[in-house]
Amino acid sequence: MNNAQMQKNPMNSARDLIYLVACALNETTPDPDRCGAMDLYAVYRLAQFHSLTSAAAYALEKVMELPRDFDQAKKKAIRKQALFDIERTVIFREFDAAGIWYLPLKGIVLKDYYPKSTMREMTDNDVLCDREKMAQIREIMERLGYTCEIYDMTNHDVYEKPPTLSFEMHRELFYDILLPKFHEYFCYIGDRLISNEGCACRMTDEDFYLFLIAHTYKHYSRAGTGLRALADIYVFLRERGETLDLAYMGKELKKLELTDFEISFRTLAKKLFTGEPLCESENSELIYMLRSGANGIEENAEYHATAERLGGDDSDLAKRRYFRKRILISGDALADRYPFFSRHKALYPLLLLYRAFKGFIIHPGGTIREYRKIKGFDRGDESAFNYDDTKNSGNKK
Amino acid sequence: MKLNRNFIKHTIDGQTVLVPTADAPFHGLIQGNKSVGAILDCLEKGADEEEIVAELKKRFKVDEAVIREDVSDVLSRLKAIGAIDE
Repeated sequence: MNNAQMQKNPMNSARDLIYLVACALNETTPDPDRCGAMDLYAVYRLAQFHSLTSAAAYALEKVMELPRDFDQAKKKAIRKQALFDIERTVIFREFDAAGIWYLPLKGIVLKDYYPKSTMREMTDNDVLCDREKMAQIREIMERLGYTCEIYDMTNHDVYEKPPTLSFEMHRELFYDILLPKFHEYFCYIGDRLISNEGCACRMTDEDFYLFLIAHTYKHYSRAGTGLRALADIYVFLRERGETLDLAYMGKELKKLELTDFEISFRTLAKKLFTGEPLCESENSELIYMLRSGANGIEENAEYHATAERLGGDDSDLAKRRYFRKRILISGDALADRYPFFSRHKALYPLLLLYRAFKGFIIHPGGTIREYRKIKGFDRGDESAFNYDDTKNSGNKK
Repeated sequence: MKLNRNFIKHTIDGQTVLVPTADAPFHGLIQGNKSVGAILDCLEKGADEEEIVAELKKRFKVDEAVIREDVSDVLSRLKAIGAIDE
């Protein structure tokens, strides 16, 4: 969603959705008059964008007959979870028989922290597996009727079966090329897992939370992430927050360079779903997340990629420096991409001519797009409007 | 009578649901109360209507006539969506 769309459904729909989700998470009954006055079509659209239609439905049904869309969304969430539960039983039975260890991740674990597990919608199921057994896992999944959509290209393989089942079997928790720091930290997580029945494993609560924060940051810092991520943190900490080893957590978050992010994310989650007012920076964060939705948006991904290229600096000097580096390629970039010209520097002017030809004659569209992105990059304030949290309390019985 | 293999009984959040698989002729979701759960338990193992009524009489302190009517109603709905093998 862009700023204009958010302003068309101004903060009313967002406030209403957050209020309903807070009621659902806190198992309180929403105010019937307030619900009666909601633009439920707009709330439904926003809830869909944030994968929170089922959660909102659970709150609404306490005070009204559910509108068809919400009713169908809730039933769909129940059906989907049932299908996933059944399929996981079958798949994990095969893994047990084959001696393949596995670790259910993310939504599979988080759903049980919600008052009703089907409040937590899932598009797919994520499982970390023994990376030495990925070929055997493929054989098992294909025998069970799944089609392998992606294999051995990133940190996870993707298997799908009609009508809606999708499993991501992870060999690693994070992809080393895109997130080397997280990959390095979590690549030995297997040594810290706790055995459950059969070949099933689980993380300690601390490691699960660290993974949750790192995974959330991965999405937040690229295409963005939405309200459901805040709900996940809120419900997990409500159940487990008191028993977490805070000294250990502090140390590990520092290693991951996620201390500040964890504090701000946790604080926002708590304030949002307990009705506490937000400060200006929290409001900005919330706006960013409201615009991003559960799966992020391309606009954010492009913004962050551009910011990374410019080192976060939107000054004219930084942009001119960037363009100079792009045109006058040198150093490691030259050695990686044009090793011949790196070895034969006298021919370097020919390379510049070739790159100019390629950029302006062969791929002018791409060149112009890149130029516009860099030229137009502005770190400025993204807040479209303020969110007044004082009227949003889902925690009064 | 037995539950058709393309319908799977499952419990979520303490509630029994009957989930059709992709091969089932029906593509919705069947949710029920405790008596529906009990009927599905019987059909999972295989039972005739009398056996189901007897089982529900054991589990619930309700008039037999009411139980018979409920069982008959649920069975006819399940047959209509192809969830029962005779």
